[in-house]
Amino acid sequence: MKDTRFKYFFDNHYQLLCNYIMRLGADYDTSEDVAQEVLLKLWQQKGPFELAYALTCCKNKWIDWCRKTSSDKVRSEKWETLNHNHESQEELDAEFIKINKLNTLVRQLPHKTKEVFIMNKINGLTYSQIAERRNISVKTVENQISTALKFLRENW
Amino acid sequence: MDKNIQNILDKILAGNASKEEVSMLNDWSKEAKENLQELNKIKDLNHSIDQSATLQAFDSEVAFDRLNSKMENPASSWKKYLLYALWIILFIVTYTSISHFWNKMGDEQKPNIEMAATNTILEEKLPDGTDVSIGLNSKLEILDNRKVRLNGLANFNVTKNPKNPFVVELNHGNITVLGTEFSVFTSQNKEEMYLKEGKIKYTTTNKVQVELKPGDYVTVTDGNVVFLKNVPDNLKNAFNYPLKYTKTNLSQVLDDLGKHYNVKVQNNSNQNLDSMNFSGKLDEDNLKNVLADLSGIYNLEFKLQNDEILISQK
Repeated sequence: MKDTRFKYFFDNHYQLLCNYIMRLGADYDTSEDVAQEVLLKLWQQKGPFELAYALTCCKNKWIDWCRKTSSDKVRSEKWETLNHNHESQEELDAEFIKINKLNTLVRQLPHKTKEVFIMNKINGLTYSQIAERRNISVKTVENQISTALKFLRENW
Repeated sequence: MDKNIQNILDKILAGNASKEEVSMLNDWSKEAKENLQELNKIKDLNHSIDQSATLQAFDSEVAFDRLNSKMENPASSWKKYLLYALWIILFIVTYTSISHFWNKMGDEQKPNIEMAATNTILEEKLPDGTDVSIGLNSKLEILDNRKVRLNGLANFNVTKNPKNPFVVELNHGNITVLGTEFSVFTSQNKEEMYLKEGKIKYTTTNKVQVELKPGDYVTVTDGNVVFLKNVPDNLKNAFNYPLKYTKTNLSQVLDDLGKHYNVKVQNNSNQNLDSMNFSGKLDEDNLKNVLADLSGIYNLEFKLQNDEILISQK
C-alpha cells in the first residue's frame, strides 16, 4: 500500500481507536475488529484522516456491531456501562482528542527523552528501575523527565 | 512566570510535589486569572498523562498487516462482484421486458401512415411500388403494404402482384386491384371511378360487386352503381391541371372543381347552372381565385365557406 498518509494515520491512531471502542463497552478483540473495519473504510474512501471523524465512525460501527450480534439485554448492559462511565459522548471524545494531542507532543520529543518519559509515565517504572534498565544514572533520568514535562507544559 | 512556580508545576507533573508546595501553588492561582488558567492547564495535561497510562496496548504492526491483506485481497470482494452481477442481470431483464412491452404496444398502436394533400397535388410512391397522385384536400391512409383508405380524389398506378391484390377502401365500398391504372373519387355521398387499363373489382358495403374494364366510368350514389359513358374531364385526366372546357355546362365545371378541391357545391341561386356554359381553362391553384374569376364572368356570387362552394345571387 502506497498511501503514506493512511499508514501514518493508522500507526498513530490505531491504539487510540481500539481503546476508545473498549471504553464504549467492547472487549479487546472486538475493539480491534471494529477499529480495523473503520480504518479499512477510511482507506477505501481515501479519508478524511481526522481523529474526530474516525471516533464518530468507530462509535457508529460499534452500534452496528451491537445491533447485529447482541441480544437486547446484552446491548442495554453495554450502553449502561458506557453511560455510567461518562456523562456524555462529547466528554469521552474530548478526552481521547486530548490523549491524541499528548501523543503528538510526545512523538516530538528527542528519542531518548521520549523513551524515558514513556517508561516512567505510561509504563509506570520508577526512576531507579529506568536507570537500571537503560544503564544510566538516576539523575539523568530525572533530567530527561523534567525536559519532557517542560516541553509538554509549554506546548499544551 | 516565577521560576519557583515553574519548578513546582514541573514537580506536580512529575508527581513529587510536597504538600507545602501544593498549597503554595493554590495561593498563587488565586492571585490572578491567568494563574488559575495555567494551573488548570497543568491539571488537564496531568489528567491526560494519567489517562494515557491507562490505555491498553495493541499491536498496531500486526493489525496493519492484517488490514493490508484485506485491502489487497478483500474477503468481501466476491460478494461485491456478485452484487454487481445481480444488478446487471436485473437491469438486462428489466430493460428487455420493458422494450419488449413497448414494442408490443408499438405494434398495436402503430399509427397508419397518412398522406394528405391540402393545396397541392401529392405524387407518391407507396411501399409496394404503386404510384399514387392525391388530389387537393384529399387524404390517403396506408393501412398495410397493399391496402389503403381514401377520402377524396386519387389516381393509382398499381404494381402488379397477382398473389396479393391491392385494396382501396372507400366510403361506400372497396376496390380490389390486381395491377392497373385508375382514378377514384370518394366523398360522403358519392363515389366515382374511372379505369384506364387493367381490371378492377368494386364491392360496395352492401356486397354489390362490379368489375370494371378499361375505359369504364362508374358512379356510386346511395349504394346504386351506375356505368356512365360520358367520362368527366377531371377524372379522365385526373391530375392534368389546368382544367380545360369548351362550352361545358357550369354545373359540370363546378362539380369538377368540387372534386378537384374536394369541397361540396351548394347552389342557393334561382338560376339553373345547366343552362349556362363555360369555355376556357381554370389554371389557378387557389380555389378562392378561381371562384373570384367565375364571379367576374357570371352574374352570380361564388363563395367558399367551410369547405363548401356557395352560389348565390349578386
